[in-house]
Amino acid sequence: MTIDQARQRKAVARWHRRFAIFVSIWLMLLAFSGVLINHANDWNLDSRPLADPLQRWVYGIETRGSNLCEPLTSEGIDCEQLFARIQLPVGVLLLGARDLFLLDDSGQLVEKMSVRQFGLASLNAALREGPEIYLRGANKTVVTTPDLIDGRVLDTRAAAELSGRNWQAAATSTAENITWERFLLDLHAARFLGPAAKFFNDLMAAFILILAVSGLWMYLAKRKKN
Amino acid sequence: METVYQEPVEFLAENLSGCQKQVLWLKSDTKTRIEQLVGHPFPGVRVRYCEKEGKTAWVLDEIGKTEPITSGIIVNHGRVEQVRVLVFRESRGSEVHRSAFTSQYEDAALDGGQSLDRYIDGITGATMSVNALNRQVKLALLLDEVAREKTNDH
Repeated sequence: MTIDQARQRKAVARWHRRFAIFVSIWLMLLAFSGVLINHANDWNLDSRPLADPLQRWVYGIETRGSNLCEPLTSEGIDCEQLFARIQLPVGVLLLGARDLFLLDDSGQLVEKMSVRQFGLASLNAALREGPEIYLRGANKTVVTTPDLIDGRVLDTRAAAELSGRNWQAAATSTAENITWERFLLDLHAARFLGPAAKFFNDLMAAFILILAVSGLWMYLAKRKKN
Repeated sequence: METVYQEPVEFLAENLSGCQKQVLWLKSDTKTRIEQLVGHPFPGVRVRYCEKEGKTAWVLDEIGKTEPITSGIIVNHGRVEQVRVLVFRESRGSEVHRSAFTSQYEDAALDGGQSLDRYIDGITGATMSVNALNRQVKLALLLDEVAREKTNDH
């Protein structure tokens, strides 16, 4: 073996090692996420929602109700159900699927009201028009007095007339649809890199090919030397 | 899982028809008494009720184990007239909705302290639900007392 050949072999070995370290990290991540995806159904990863901090950090999604809930945390109330707020002359009304929370101007909880007290099984949307507040459930709409003490059910015609108004509705929660499986699939395919993901995967494939070729070249060179 | 035995609106219509809906504002000392009675923080400073001819009706939520139990309680001048479990959401302990159990509260009053003036027989396997109902009844009696004081002041 000439000095040039020895230098060449050394350089190839050095680059082979560098590529191998880089690629092995990616391969380990692929293997780990691949195994989890393979057993996603067995381990309920296809139905379990992704943890809140990851939803916020990776997908930029605020968990439903988290910011609306903030003024209520001192009262120890679980307010995951909250979906909107309505400003009232006396304060703020937080809307939840099961309960309404009336806060005063300083954010103190005045009253927690079950929507059942207004004759609704659950609240789908609410609307404020002048002094009146309309609460819409699955199959009926209730109009409350401005102080929210009493309410009456609207007839079908009156309820239909309100359908085009600017209702504060409970949207389908995107956050609930992001499961651990979806996160793992995005991680597995490097989709977090956006449009660059395609080129990143091409690069990794190229590195693996380089590793295979350089490894074979080094093996043959060593065999020839011996 | 949610079992609705009776809607709160129907409970009021059936047992205190034509009652006048009102709110009771809780002063800090009243809120402290309530929190001592139920053993946990009480949300808010306003409670709604319905009143007719000295009788008051309260629809209250109280956590059994993890979920709230909604009960309707009618109080007649400081004594329980009727207790009914309206919505039950726990997986166990739904036996508390039976009238054989809730009828024990009829004519019960606060003994001057934080207890009922009678012993309420529990239900095996439904201890937490029974305790929640006991707290609700005591709370309704206390709130009725405060509401009557308010009426007398006026």
